[in-house]
Amino acid sequence: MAPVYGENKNINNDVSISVIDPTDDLPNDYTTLVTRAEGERIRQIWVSKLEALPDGGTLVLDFSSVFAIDHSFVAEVLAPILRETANGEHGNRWIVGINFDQRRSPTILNTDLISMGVNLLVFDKTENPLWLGIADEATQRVVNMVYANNKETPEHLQLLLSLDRKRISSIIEELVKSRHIVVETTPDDGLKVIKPSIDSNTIRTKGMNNILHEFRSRIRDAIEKGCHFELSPDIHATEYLHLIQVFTDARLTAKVAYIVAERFRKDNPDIVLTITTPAAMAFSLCVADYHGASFICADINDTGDAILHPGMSIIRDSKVLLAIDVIATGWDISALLKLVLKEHASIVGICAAVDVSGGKVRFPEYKYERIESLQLGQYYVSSCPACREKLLLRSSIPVSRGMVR
Amino acid sequence: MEIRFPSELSEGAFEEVLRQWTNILMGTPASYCAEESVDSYLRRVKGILDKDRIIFNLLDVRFAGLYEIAMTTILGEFTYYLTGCRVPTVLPRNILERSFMSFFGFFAHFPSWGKTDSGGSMPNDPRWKSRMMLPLKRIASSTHVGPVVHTLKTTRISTILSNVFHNEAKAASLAEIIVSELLQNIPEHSRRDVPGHGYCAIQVGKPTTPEPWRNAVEITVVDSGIGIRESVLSRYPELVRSMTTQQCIKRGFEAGWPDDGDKHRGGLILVARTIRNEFRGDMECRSVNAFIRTIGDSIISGDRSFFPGTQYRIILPYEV
Repeated sequence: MAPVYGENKNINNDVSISVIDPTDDLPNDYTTLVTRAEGERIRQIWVSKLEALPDGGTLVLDFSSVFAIDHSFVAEVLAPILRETANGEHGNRWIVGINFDQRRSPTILNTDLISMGVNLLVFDKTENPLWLGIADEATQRVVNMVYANNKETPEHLQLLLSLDRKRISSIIEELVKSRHIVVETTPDDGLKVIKPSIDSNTIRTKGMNNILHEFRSRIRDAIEKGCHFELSPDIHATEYLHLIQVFTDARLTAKVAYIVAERFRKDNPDIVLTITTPAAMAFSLCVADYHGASFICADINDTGDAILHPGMSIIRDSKVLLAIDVIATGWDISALLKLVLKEHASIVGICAAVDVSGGKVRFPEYKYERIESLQLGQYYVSSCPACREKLLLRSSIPVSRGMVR
Repeated sequence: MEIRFPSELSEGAFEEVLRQWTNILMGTPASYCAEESVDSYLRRVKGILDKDRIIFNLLDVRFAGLYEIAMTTILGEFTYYLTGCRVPTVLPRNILERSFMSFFGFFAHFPSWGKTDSGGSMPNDPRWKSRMMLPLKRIASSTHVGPVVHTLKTTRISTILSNVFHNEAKAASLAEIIVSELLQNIPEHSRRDVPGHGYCAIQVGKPTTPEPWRNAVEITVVDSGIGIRESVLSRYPELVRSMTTQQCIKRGFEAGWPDDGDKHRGGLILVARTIRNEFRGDMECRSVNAFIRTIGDSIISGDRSFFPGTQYRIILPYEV
């Protein structure tokens, strides 16, 4: 379908997208795009990734682990590449941002992009599209409406936005010229239809939840089946998740932890408390880092009591978030809960990377969030199939002690 | 040779400390010539002061602000560099008297430049954390900038900032414009002979200066690098050669420098405008031998005794 306005043929029908974490190439600045020194190097990396895409492709910048983007980074890296892309210097390709958190950089990025005369399409964490860097309010409303609804007509826009026909026409013409939108004429009735230049649906489907897809796939690979583990004196498992294998990837661990930590943002914990196992500590440290909270850990002894690690303490009245890698029986969390209450602190909630109890473990009095829920084979000893088959019992992992239900 | 620190170590008083220190330098055959390169002056002085003992007497200090603690740290480091010896330091007698220093993280960095015979452990009271946002943090390279900005964007601190300013955008501006821009200058302004480093610290709450400030967030960023004039001179030699340090600083904050494609060179203007327009705050910038101070819409500038590098003190008031 030929566009009506101008010679614009820039329709991104190609579903080629490449999702990158913009902090991947910053070995030390893992959450902040504030580097001025490495600007040119980063820009070249992004250009090469952009140009590796086929015609019509989109480079998607995943901002989910980005805490801050400062003026220098925008000036040194982002604005030049956006300008070049808008001018067609990198062919018929686009750059888009996803998982953009407006709370972290509410107006700065928008203001910077406006002052530098470049635009960037971003999707926030609820997948709402937003064009940043457009100074004119009416133009911004038009383009955001087109992207939100995926299709619009000039008449509908006129009605919705209370703009006159001439104004709408001039805005549409500008947006076509700048490759934000395309205009097509339906063959049957000659109606003009305005569509996004960038395939938002594909980006939403393929780009968003990138981290969760990766995490889930890695979890599947880390499940040992046909085994025989002692979770507690009363509970055995025939399937066991070795989450530490997944958490050897520090960046993935941080990104996963940030997803669940964000759900406690309004609770603003002072302390993140966990148990002293490698996977739990790796996960919980990142949760603590997200909140800027203190990180402390406790050992669980044979009688199910949590003992704080030497040198660590819980201050009275502080707000504590319990964090753990895997919830299987809930015993560890129960021990930590008792400890916090004994120290006269308050509990803001419980978070876990994975719940393998299949929903059987519940904490009705507390806010409980996890990234993933599974049901792995767990049995009381009396009905354990692995016991019947006399499989070797392994209990070297310091997991939850038994909690008879 | 002894430098005696006054009991109330606030802004004006610290200039007195620097004057004592500069007098020691002036006592050497080498004296600083106006607009001389910091590197070349220090090369001349270093050989003269080598192995001399300069004692810091902080015995009587009962109060010091955030900026003054940062300046003491950088002064101590610099003295260590010049003399080649750790600086003998007389500290206040007991933990209670030293507590305000602990508040700002002074003792975290003291071992790198100073030594003391004062007994007893260094105080470290975790209760201060609820008021201090960022104790004295060393910035030794550009890779240290990101983690500091990251700290300001964590839930705890961004919540504190959003609450005091009643505005999330202001909290973001503080981190991503003011702090980030100033910190990135530290490694860029480093001296050739010493890998560039500096310090920053941020405090929120009732200010600990005796001045009648309103409730404010205070930011301090200090370094002992080449200073603003020398930094700009390398980029615009024809323009800056005839300017004094004072004129350079003033221009950096008011008008900026020609845009030769390096957009980020407008960082200081952005910082100044953000402080003035968004926060209605005040700022003092001291660089080598000059200073500029913004108070509201007014700008005051003048000369100062020599001290290498650039130091900022920023006050961002808020309503309770």
